[in-house]
Amino acid sequence: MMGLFSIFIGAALVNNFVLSKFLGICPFLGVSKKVGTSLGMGIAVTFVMTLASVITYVVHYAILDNYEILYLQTIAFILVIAALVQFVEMFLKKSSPSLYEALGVFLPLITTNCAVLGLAIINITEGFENIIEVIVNSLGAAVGFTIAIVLFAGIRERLEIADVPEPLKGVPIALITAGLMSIAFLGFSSLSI
Amino acid sequence: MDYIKALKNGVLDENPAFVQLLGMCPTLAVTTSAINGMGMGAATTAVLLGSNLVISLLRKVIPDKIRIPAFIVVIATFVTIIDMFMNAFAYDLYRSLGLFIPLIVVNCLILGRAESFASKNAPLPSIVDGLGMGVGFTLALTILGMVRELFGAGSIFGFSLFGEAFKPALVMILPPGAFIALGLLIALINVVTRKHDPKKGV
Amino acid sequence: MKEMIKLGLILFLITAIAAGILSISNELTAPIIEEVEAAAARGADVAGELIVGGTSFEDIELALLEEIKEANDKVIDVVKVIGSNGESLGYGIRTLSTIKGYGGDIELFVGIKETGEIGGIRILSLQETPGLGTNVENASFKNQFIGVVPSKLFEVVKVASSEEHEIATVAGATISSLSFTSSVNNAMMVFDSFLSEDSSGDLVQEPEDIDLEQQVVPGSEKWVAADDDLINKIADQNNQFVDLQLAYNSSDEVMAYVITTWSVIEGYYGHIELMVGVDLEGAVTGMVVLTIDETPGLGTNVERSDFQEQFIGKPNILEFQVKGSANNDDEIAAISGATVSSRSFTSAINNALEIFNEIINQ
Repeated sequence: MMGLFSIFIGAALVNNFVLSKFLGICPFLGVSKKVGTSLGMGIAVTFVMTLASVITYVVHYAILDNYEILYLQTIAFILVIAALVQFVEMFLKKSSPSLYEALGVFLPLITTNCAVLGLAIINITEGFENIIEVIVNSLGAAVGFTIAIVLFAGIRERLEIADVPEPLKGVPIALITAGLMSIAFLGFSSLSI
Repeated sequence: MDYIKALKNGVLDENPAFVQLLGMCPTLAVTTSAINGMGMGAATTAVLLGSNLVISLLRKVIPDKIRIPAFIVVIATFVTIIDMFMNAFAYDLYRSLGLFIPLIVVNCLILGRAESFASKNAPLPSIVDGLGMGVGFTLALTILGMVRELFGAGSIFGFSLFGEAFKPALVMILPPGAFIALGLLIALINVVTRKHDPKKGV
Repeated sequence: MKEMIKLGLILFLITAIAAGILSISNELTAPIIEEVEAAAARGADVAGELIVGGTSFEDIELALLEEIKEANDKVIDVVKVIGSNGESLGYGIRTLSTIKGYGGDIELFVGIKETGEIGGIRILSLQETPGLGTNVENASFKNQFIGVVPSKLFEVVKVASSEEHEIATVAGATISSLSFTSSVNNAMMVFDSFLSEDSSGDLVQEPEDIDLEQQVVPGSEKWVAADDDLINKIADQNNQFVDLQLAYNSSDEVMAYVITTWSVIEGYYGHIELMVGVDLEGAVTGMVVLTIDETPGLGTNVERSDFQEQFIGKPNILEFQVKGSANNDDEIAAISGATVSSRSFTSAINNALEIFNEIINQ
C-alpha cells in the first residue's frame, strides 16, 4: 500500500510531469490563462491520461510484445490516444454540451499533449509490476499536471494586471514564473515514502 | 514561390520555437547541451521534411474527414524510422535524447505544418517550407542549448572553456534553468525586433 | 454508414502500408542496433577501462554464471576480460548496488584482476543529484578503489586514513558514496566467493573467525555475566531478551552492556538473533549476528559492515527507522531489495536500545 502511495506522490510532486519532466508544456503555456479553464483542462487530461495508459499498457504487452512488433509502438500508441480523444469528444458532446463548449478547441489538442504519449511510454520503461501500479502512476502524473497548470493559471491571472516590463510581457514572464515554480518543486526531490 | 522568403520565414519571422512557441517540450527538455539541441533539431527537421513531402504527394488522395489520423500515421512512421536509424547510427545522441525522440510525433509543429501548408501545396514548396521551419527550429534549440551549456557546465559543444576553477550555475542544466533561459531569450528577441520595427507591439 | 466503412478502410490501408514500411526498416536496422548496443556494453574500450590491457570479453561457464546469479541477486553479468594475446586478465562484474543511492540503484561494471586487484570501474547507470551525488563519477572518488587488493570490504568514512579499504565520502553526498561503494563491494564479494583462485570467500567472515568481543565492544578487556537479578528483571519485561553481559575496559570500569536479543519484527524467513554492544551513552558500539535465516546474497547482506556501521556511534537515539535512504542520524538506509530483513535486523537493535534505556539505565 505504501508502495502505491509513494508511486503516486512521486509522479505528482517529486517528478512532476510539467515542471521536472517537461511533458505537457504546450497546454501548460497555452491554456493556463484562467484558473477555470485550466481546471477543466486538467480534469479532461486526467481522464484521457489514465484511460490511455491502461489501454496502451494492455496493447503493449498483449500485442506488441507478444508478436515481437515493438517497433510499431509509436504508431500504435498515438493511434490509441487519437481514437480515445475522439470518443471522449463525442461522449462529451452528447452528455455535457456545456463542458464541451467550454473546452472548445483544447479537447482535440489533448492528442498532441506530449504528457499523454510520454506517460504511456514511461509506464512501459519504468517496469511496473502490475496494472494497478500503472493506474496509480498515471493518476499521480495527471494530478500533478493539473496542480501545476491550475497554480500557474492563478499566478498568470495576477500577472495580467501587474506592471511587467515591455520585453518581458506575455510569454517571457510566464516562462520565468514557470522556472521559479520549477525551483520550488525541486524541493520535493528528497521526498520519499 | 519565393523560396528565399519561405526559408527566411521559417528561420526568423515565424520561428517555431521562439515566435510560434511550438514544440516546447523538446525545446526545454533536451537543450542541456548544444549538441543535444542540434541533434533534436536535426531529427525533427528530418521528420518534417519526410512528412511534408509525403502528405503533399498524397494530399489529393486522403479524404478530408480522416485527414488528421492519416497525417498522424504518416508522421508516426517517419518518427519511428528516424528513431531506428538514430539507434543504429547515432547511438550516443540516441541515448541522450531518449524519450523525446518518439515524442517528436506529438510536436505540434509537424502536424501544424502538415495541416496548414503541406496538405494544400505542391511537393516542392512543401519541402522548402519544411526545411525553413526545421532549420529555424534547429537554430533555436542549438542557441538555447549553447546558453544553458555555457552557464550550466562551462563548455560549448563539449569543449570546456573555463577550466577546473569555474563553478557553473548548475540550475541552468536543471529544469528551472530551461524555463528561465528560454524566457530571457524570448524577451531579448522581443527587444531586438522592436528596435527594428517600432510599430510592432506585443 | 457506407461512407464510414470506406473511410475506415482507407485509414486501415494507410496504416497497413506504414506498418509494412516500418517492418522493412526494422529488418534493415535491427542487426546494426544489436551490434551497437553490444559494443556499448562490451566493446574493446570498455574492456580496457575495466582492466588495463584488456581488449575483449569472453563469457564464463554458463553453469558458474547461473550459480553466481542464484546466490547474488544484484549481479547482472560476469565476464572474463581478455588481453591482446588472448590471455585472461581477470573478470568484469556487472552489478547493482546493495544500498540504494539517492535516485535508485547505481549499476557498475567492475574490473577485477586475477590477483584480486580492482582494475577499473565503469559506471553504467547512475541517477544521483547533478553536481552533488554525480561527483562519485569523478576520478578523485573512483580512483580510491582502483589498484587496491582489498582484504576487507571497502568502508565509507568521512576522512580517509592511510588504510586502503577506507573510502573518503564525497562531501555532501554520503548516500551516493555509500551506494557506489556497496556496488563495488558486491562485485568483490562475487569475485572472492566464486572467481578467485582460493574462492575461500574470506571477505565475508564467518563468526568463528572474528574476535567476537572486539567486534561487539571494541577496546573491551573482559566480559562478565550480569547478575541474575538484573537478567530476570529484563526477561520479565522483554520477550525477545536472551542474555546480558558487562564489558569492562582496561581500567576495570564498565564501558558497555552486551545485550543478546532476538528481533521484534520477523525477517523474511524468521527472526534474527543479535548480540549488541551499547555504551553508557546509549550508543551502539558494535554487533554480531548469531542466528540468521534470510535470503543468501540479499537478506544476509545485513551482516555486511557497510550496513551495520550505520548503527554505530550514535548516542541518544531511542529508535532507528528504516528508510529508502538515510537523511538523519536515526534513519537507516535499507538494503535495496531486502527491506524486510533490514527492518527485522533494525528491530533487534531497537530492542537492545529499549532494554538499555528503559531497564538498565533506570
